[in-house]
Amino acid sequence: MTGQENIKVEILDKPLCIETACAFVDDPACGATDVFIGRVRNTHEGQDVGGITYDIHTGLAEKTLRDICTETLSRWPETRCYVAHYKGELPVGGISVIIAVAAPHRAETFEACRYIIEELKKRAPVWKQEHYPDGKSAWLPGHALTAERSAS
Amino acid sequence: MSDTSDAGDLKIITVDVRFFGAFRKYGEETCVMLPAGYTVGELKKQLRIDFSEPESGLLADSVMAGGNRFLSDDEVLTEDVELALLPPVCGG
Repeated sequence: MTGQENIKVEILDKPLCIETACAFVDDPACGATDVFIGRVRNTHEGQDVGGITYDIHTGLAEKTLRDICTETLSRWPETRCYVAHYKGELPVGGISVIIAVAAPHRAETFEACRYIIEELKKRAPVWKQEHYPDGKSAWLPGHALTAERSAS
Repeated sequence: MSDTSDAGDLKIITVDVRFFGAFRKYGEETCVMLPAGYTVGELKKQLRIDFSEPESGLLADSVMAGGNRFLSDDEVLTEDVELALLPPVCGG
């Protein structure tokens, strides 16, 4: 049993919704919900940032996020997980990612939520292009994927 | 739509490579003609030459995917295929 009914992942080109995330993980058996919200920051390494474009391989990203959530359920079996990532351009303050995890008790929601965001950053095929006030832009460096790790 | 052609015993395949992230500086995609039996690693080497990238450049840290599956550099290409070239990731 994989508990896939307890997982929802989305790649969206419309504003991400915190209420949608919380509604999906809501369950009478869960006494705790932890929500992580990632937003576009106005600086990066001392440089002013005006916005970020998120480039995503949608099919692979959905599969990778589902794999990460499946791993989460095997580590914390009573959790429900929602992950959404934005695709496209966002201004400063825009929400790029929402993760919601619900569980009977708070400890596993914190741990599972942290696990999902850390794995997402290392494994999800997502790329950031920062835009600067002078009109220039740059793709950010990141974590190299490997066929072996990504297939896990 | 791409064609597979045979020239004598040599079967030539067409590999469409979609670009993501920093590779978008080369456009949306490129098309490479290769002899069947080439590996993903050899395809990456060909792209490195086409792009005039250094051996230790972005391609060395990138991985190919076919469909929704990541491919190792040892994977052999035998048919026309569409692949994605994925540089290091930085989501969230």
